[in-house]
Amino acid sequence: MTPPSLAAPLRFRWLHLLPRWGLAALLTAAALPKLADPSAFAGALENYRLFSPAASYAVALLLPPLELVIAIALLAAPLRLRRGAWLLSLALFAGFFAITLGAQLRGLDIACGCFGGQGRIQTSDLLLRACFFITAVWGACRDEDDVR
Amino acid sequence: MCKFARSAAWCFSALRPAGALLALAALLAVPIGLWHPLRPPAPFAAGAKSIRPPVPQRSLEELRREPRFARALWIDARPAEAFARGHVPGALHLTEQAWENGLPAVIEAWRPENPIVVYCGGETCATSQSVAQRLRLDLAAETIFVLQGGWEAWSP
Repeated sequence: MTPPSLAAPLRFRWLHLLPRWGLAALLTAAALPKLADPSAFAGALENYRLFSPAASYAVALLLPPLELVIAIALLAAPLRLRRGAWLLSLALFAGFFAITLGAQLRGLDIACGCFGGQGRIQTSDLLLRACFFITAVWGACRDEDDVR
Repeated sequence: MCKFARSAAWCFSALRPAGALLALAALLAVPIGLWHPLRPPAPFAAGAKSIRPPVPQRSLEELRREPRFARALWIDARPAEAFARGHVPGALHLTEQAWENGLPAVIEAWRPENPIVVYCGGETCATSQSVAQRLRLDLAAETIFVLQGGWEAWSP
Protein backbone atom coordinates (compact mmCIF):
# COMPACT_ATOMS: atom_id res chain seq x y z
CA MET A 1 0.00 0.00 0.00
CA THR A 2 1.27 3.46 -0.78
CA PRO A 3 2.08 5.45 2.33
CA PRO A 4 -0.33 8.40 2.68
CA SER A 5 2.50 10.94 2.93
CA LEU A 6 3.57 10.06 -0.62
CA ALA A 7 0.14 9.49 -2.12
CA ALA A 8 -1.20 12.93 -1.23
CA PRO A 9 1.38 14.98 -3.15
CA LEU A 10 0.98 12.74 -6.19
CA ARG A 11 -2.80 12.93 -6.11
CA PHE A 12 -2.74 16.72 -5.90
CA ARG A 13 0.15 17.26 -8.28
CA TRP A 14 -2.24 18.77 -10.84
CA LEU A 15 -2.82 21.56 -8.31
CA HIS A 16 0.88 22.36 -8.45
CA LEU A 17 0.77 22.38 -12.25
CA LEU A 18 -2.21 24.74 -12.28
CA PRO A 19 -0.20 28.00 -11.97
CA ARG A 20 2.18 26.79 -14.69
CA TRP A 21 -0.61 25.94 -17.11
CA GLY A 22 -2.71 28.92 -16.11
CA LEU A 23 0.08 31.45 -16.59
CA ALA A 24 1.11 29.79 -19.85
CA ALA A 25 -2.47 30.13 -21.12
CA LEU A 26 -2.65 33.72 -19.88
CA LEU A 27 0.62 34.70 -21.57
CA THR A 28 -0.49 33.06 -24.82
CA ALA A 29 -3.81 34.90 -24.69
CA ALA A 30 -1.92 38.14 -24.10
CA ALA A 31 0.62 37.52 -26.87
CA LEU A 32 -1.66 36.51 -29.75
CA PRO A 33 -3.59 39.79 -30.24
CA LYS A 34 -0.34 41.76 -29.91
CA LEU A 35 1.28 39.53 -32.51
CA ALA A 36 -1.71 40.00 -34.80
CA ASP A 37 -1.43 43.80 -34.68
CA PRO A 38 1.94 45.05 -33.35
CA SER A 39 1.17 48.51 -34.65
CA ALA A 40 -1.91 48.92 -32.43
CA PHE A 41 0.08 47.61 -29.47
CA ALA A 42 2.84 50.14 -30.17
CA GLY A 43 0.22 52.89 -30.17
CA ALA A 44 -1.21 51.65 -26.88
CA LEU A 45 2.31 51.67 -25.38
CA GLU A 46 2.85 55.25 -26.47
CA ASN A 47 -0.27 56.30 -24.59
CA TYR A 48 1.41 55.37 -21.31
CA ARG A 49 3.84 58.24 -21.98
CA LEU A 50 6.68 56.30 -20.41
CA PHE A 51 8.66 55.21 -23.43
CA SER A 52 10.42 57.04 -26.22
CA PRO A 53 9.22 56.12 -29.75
CA ALA A 54 12.26 53.87 -30.19
CA ALA A 55 11.59 52.10 -26.87
CA SER A 56 7.88 51.66 -27.70
CA TYR A 57 8.90 50.21 -31.05
CA ALA A 58 11.33 47.77 -29.44
CA VAL A 59 8.86 46.70 -26.73
CA ALA A 60 6.04 46.31 -29.27
CA LEU A 61 8.20 43.94 -31.31
CA LEU A 62 9.86 42.06 -28.45
CA LEU A 63 7.13 41.60 -25.85
CA PRO A 64 4.66 39.42 -27.84
CA PRO A 65 7.25 36.79 -28.87
CA LEU A 66 8.71 36.92 -25.36
CA GLU A 67 5.31 36.19 -23.81
CA LEU A 68 4.87 33.31 -26.23
CA VAL A 69 8.36 31.91 -25.58
CA ILE A 70 7.80 32.07 -21.81
CA ALA A 71 4.44 30.32 -22.19
CA ILE A 72 5.96 27.49 -24.23
CA ALA A 73 8.89 27.16 -21.82
CA LEU A 74 6.51 27.00 -18.83
CA LEU A 75 4.56 24.23 -20.53
CA ALA A 76 7.23 22.11 -22.12
CA ALA A 77 10.78 23.03 -21.12
CA PRO A 78 12.98 21.15 -18.62
CA LEU A 79 13.31 22.65 -15.12
CA ARG A 80 16.54 24.52 -15.83
CA LEU A 81 15.01 26.47 -18.71
CA ARG A 82 11.73 26.76 -16.82
CA ARG A 83 13.54 28.64 -14.07
CA GLY A 84 14.42 31.26 -16.64
CA ALA A 85 10.79 31.38 -17.74
CA TRP A 86 9.65 31.85 -14.13
CA LEU A 87 12.19 34.62 -13.59
CA LEU A 88 11.10 36.41 -16.77
CA SER A 89 7.41 36.05 -15.95
CA LEU A 90 8.04 37.44 -12.44
CA ALA A 91 9.85 40.40 -13.98
CA LEU A 92 7.06 40.89 -16.54
CA PHE A 93 4.23 40.79 -14.01
CA ALA A 94 6.10 43.12 -11.66
CA GLY A 95 6.67 45.48 -14.58
CA PHE A 96 3.02 45.33 -15.66
CA PHE A 97 1.94 46.09 -12.10
CA ALA A 98 4.30 49.08 -11.83
CA ILE A 99 3.24 50.48 -15.21
CA THR A 100 -0.47 50.09 -14.44
CA LEU A 101 0.02 51.69 -11.02
CA GLY A 102 1.90 54.57 -12.63
CA ALA A 103 -0.90 55.13 -15.14
CA GLN A 104 -3.50 55.08 -12.33
CA LEU A 105 -1.52 57.52 -10.20
CA ARG A 106 -1.14 59.93 -13.11
CA GLY A 107 -4.87 59.68 -13.80
CA LEU A 108 -4.37 58.49 -17.39
CA ASP A 109 -7.61 57.44 -19.05
CA ILE A 110 -6.12 55.11 -21.62
CA ALA A 111 -6.69 51.70 -23.13
CA CYS A 112 -4.70 49.00 -21.35
CA GLY A 113 -3.42 47.30 -24.51
CA CYS A 114 -2.99 44.14 -22.44
CA PHE A 115 -5.07 41.58 -24.32
CA GLY A 116 -5.52 43.56 -27.50
CA GLY A 117 -8.81 45.11 -26.37
CA GLN A 118 -9.79 48.76 -25.98
CA GLY A 119 -10.80 48.42 -22.29
CA ARG A 120 -9.70 51.32 -20.08
CA ILE A 121 -7.34 50.78 -17.17
CA GLN A 122 -9.22 50.31 -13.91
CA THR A 123 -8.31 49.64 -10.31
CA SER A 124 -9.31 46.01 -10.78
CA ASP A 125 -6.49 45.71 -13.33
CA LEU A 126 -4.00 46.46 -10.56
CA LEU A 127 -5.43 43.68 -8.40
CA LEU A 128 -5.30 41.30 -11.35
CA ARG A 129 -1.65 42.07 -11.99
CA ALA A 130 -0.84 41.57 -8.32
CA CYS A 131 -2.63 38.21 -8.48
CA PHE A 132 -0.62 37.21 -11.56
CA PHE A 133 2.61 38.08 -9.75
CA ILE A 134 1.65 36.12 -6.63
CA THR A 135 0.61 33.16 -8.80
CA ALA A 136 3.99 33.28 -10.54
CA VAL A 137 5.83 33.29 -7.17
CA TRP A 138 3.73 30.37 -5.98
CA GLY A 139 4.20 28.49 -9.24
CA ALA A 140 7.97 28.96 -9.20
CA CYS A 141 8.22 27.70 -5.59
CA ARG A 142 5.97 24.71 -6.26
CA ASP A 143 7.88 23.84 -9.41
CA GLU A 144 11.16 23.65 -7.45
CA ASP A 145 9.56 21.65 -4.61
CA ASP A 146 8.06 19.13 -7.02
CA VAL A 147 11.43 18.37 -8.56
CA ARG A 148 13.24 18.10 -5.22
CA MET B 1 20.66 27.77 3.98
CA CYS B 2 18.51 30.82 4.82
CA LYS B 3 15.55 31.73 2.62
CA PHE B 4 17.22 34.84 1.22
CA ALA B 5 20.34 32.94 0.19
CA ARG B 6 18.16 30.26 -1.40
CA SER B 7 16.20 32.88 -3.37
CA ALA B 8 19.39 34.60 -4.48
CA ALA B 9 20.86 31.27 -5.60
CA TRP B 10 17.64 30.49 -7.46
CA CYS B 11 17.70 33.87 -9.24
CA PHE B 12 21.34 33.38 -10.15
CA SER B 13 20.69 29.93 -11.58
CA ALA B 14 17.72 31.31 -13.54
CA LEU B 15 19.63 34.20 -15.11
CA ARG B 16 21.31 32.27 -17.89
CA PRO B 17 18.19 30.40 -19.09
CA ALA B 18 16.28 33.69 -18.87
CA GLY B 19 18.88 35.26 -21.11
CA ALA B 20 18.54 32.39 -23.56
CA LEU B 21 14.75 32.81 -23.70
CA LEU B 22 15.14 36.56 -24.14
CA ALA B 23 17.58 36.00 -27.01
CA LEU B 24 15.14 33.58 -28.65
CA ALA B 25 12.33 36.14 -28.34
CA ALA B 26 14.58 38.84 -29.83
CA LEU B 27 15.33 36.50 -32.73
CA LEU B 28 11.60 35.97 -33.32
CA ALA B 29 11.00 39.75 -33.13
CA VAL B 30 13.25 40.39 -36.15
CA PRO B 31 10.91 38.92 -38.81
CA ILE B 32 7.96 40.70 -37.14
CA GLY B 33 9.77 44.02 -37.47
CA LEU B 34 10.77 43.31 -41.05
CA TRP B 35 7.81 41.57 -42.65
CA HIS B 36 4.68 41.75 -40.50
CA PRO B 37 2.01 43.53 -42.57
CA LEU B 38 0.90 45.53 -39.51
CA ARG B 39 4.37 46.24 -38.09
CA PRO B 40 4.82 49.66 -36.48
CA PRO B 41 6.82 52.12 -38.57
CA ALA B 42 10.46 52.27 -37.45
CA PRO B 43 10.96 55.43 -35.38
CA PHE B 44 14.61 55.91 -36.20
CA ALA B 45 14.09 58.70 -38.73
CA ALA B 46 15.36 62.08 -37.51
CA GLY B 47 12.75 63.92 -35.45
CA ALA B 48 10.43 60.95 -35.16
CA LYS B 49 7.91 61.73 -32.43
CA SER B 50 5.53 58.83 -32.78
CA ILE B 51 5.39 55.28 -34.02
CA ARG B 52 1.66 55.23 -34.55
CA PRO B 53 0.76 54.79 -38.20
CA PRO B 54 -0.17 58.19 -39.67
CA VAL B 55 -3.82 59.12 -40.13
CA PRO B 56 -4.57 59.52 -43.85
CA GLN B 57 -4.83 63.04 -45.23
CA ARG B 58 -7.58 64.38 -47.51
CA SER B 59 -7.55 67.60 -49.47
CA LEU B 60 -10.51 69.98 -49.20
CA GLU B 61 -11.50 69.15 -52.79
CA GLU B 62 -11.59 65.43 -52.00
CA LEU B 63 -13.70 66.06 -48.90
CA ARG B 64 -16.18 68.16 -50.85
CA ARG B 65 -16.43 65.55 -53.61
CA GLU B 66 -17.42 62.69 -51.29
CA PRO B 67 -21.00 62.98 -49.97
CA ARG B 68 -20.22 61.21 -46.67
CA PHE B 69 -18.07 64.16 -45.61
CA ALA B 70 -21.15 66.39 -45.56
CA ARG B 71 -21.95 64.67 -42.24
CA ALA B 72 -18.35 64.74 -40.98
CA LEU B 73 -17.48 65.83 -37.47
CA TRP B 74 -14.83 68.55 -37.69
CA ILE B 75 -12.20 68.82 -34.98
CA ASP B 76 -10.09 71.96 -34.62
CA ALA B 77 -6.69 71.11 -33.09
CA ARG B 78 -5.33 74.69 -33.09
CA PRO B 79 -4.80 76.76 -29.93
CA ALA B 80 -7.94 78.14 -28.26
CA GLU B 81 -7.26 81.74 -29.40
CA ALA B 82 -7.04 80.70 -33.04
CA PHE B 83 -10.24 78.69 -32.66
CA ALA B 84 -11.96 81.73 -31.12
CA ARG B 85 -10.91 83.91 -34.06
CA GLY B 86 -12.57 81.57 -36.55
CA HIS B 87 -13.15 77.91 -37.33
CA VAL B 88 -14.94 75.53 -39.68
CA PRO B 89 -18.70 75.84 -38.98
CA GLY B 90 -19.73 73.26 -36.37
CA ALA B 91 -16.14 72.29 -35.55
CA LEU B 92 -15.29 71.26 -31.99
CA HIS B 93 -12.11 72.38 -30.28
CA LEU B 94 -9.81 69.60 -29.06
CA THR B 95 -6.12 69.72 -28.26
CA GLU B 96 -3.82 67.25 -26.52
CA GLN B 97 -3.22 69.79 -23.72
CA ALA B 98 -6.95 70.08 -22.96
CA TRP B 99 -7.86 66.50 -23.89
CA GLU B 100 -9.96 65.69 -20.84
CA ASN B 101 -11.96 68.92 -21.19
CA GLY B 102 -12.60 68.61 -24.91
CA LEU B 103 -13.17 64.90 -25.34
CA PRO B 104 -16.66 64.59 -23.74
CA ALA B 105 -18.15 67.04 -26.29
CA VAL B 106 -16.54 65.08 -29.12
CA ILE B 107 -17.91 61.79 -27.80
CA GLU B 108 -21.37 63.33 -27.51
CA ALA B 109 -21.33 64.80 -31.03
CA TRP B 110 -19.73 61.87 -32.85
CA ARG B 111 -21.76 59.17 -34.58
CA PRO B 112 -19.64 56.12 -35.47
CA GLU B 113 -21.08 56.00 -39.00
CA ASN B 114 -19.85 59.55 -39.71
CA PRO B 115 -16.23 60.40 -40.51
CA ILE B 116 -14.06 62.70 -38.41
CA VAL B 117 -11.86 65.36 -39.98
CA VAL B 118 -9.12 66.98 -37.89
CA TYR B 119 -7.27 70.12 -38.89
CA CYS B 120 -4.65 72.43 -37.46
CA GLY B 121 -3.12 75.71 -38.67
CA GLY B 122 -1.59 74.81 -42.01
CA GLU B 123 0.59 72.49 -44.04
CA THR B 124 3.45 72.37 -41.56
CA CYS B 125 1.66 71.88 -38.23
CA ALA B 126 1.61 68.39 -36.68
CA THR B 127 -1.04 68.76 -33.98
CA SER B 128 -3.84 67.54 -36.27
CA GLN B 129 -1.92 64.26 -36.77
CA SER B 130 -1.33 63.71 -33.06
CA VAL B 131 -4.93 64.60 -32.14
CA ALA B 132 -6.27 62.37 -34.94
CA GLN B 133 -4.04 59.46 -33.88
CA ARG B 134 -5.16 59.76 -30.31
CA LEU B 135 -8.81 60.04 -31.31
CA ARG B 136 -8.46 56.97 -33.51
CA LEU B 137 -7.21 55.03 -30.51
CA ASP B 138 -9.53 56.48 -27.87
CA LEU B 139 -12.75 56.30 -29.90
CA ALA B 140 -11.67 53.30 -31.98
CA ALA B 141 -12.75 55.50 -34.90
CA GLU B 142 -11.97 53.93 -38.24
CA THR B 143 -12.95 56.75 -40.59
CA ILE B 144 -10.76 59.55 -39.37
CA PHE B 145 -8.82 61.94 -41.59
CA VAL B 146 -6.56 64.96 -41.43
CA LEU B 147 -7.34 67.98 -43.60
CA GLN B 148 -4.39 68.56 -45.88
CA GLY B 149 -3.26 72.17 -45.57
CA GLY B 150 -5.30 72.68 -42.39
CA TRP B 151 -7.08 75.95 -41.66
CA GLU B 152 -5.07 77.73 -44.38
CA ALA B 153 -6.66 75.44 -46.98
CA TRP B 154 -10.15 76.20 -45.62
CA SER B 155 -9.74 79.98 -45.50
CA PRO B 156 -6.98 80.84 -48.00
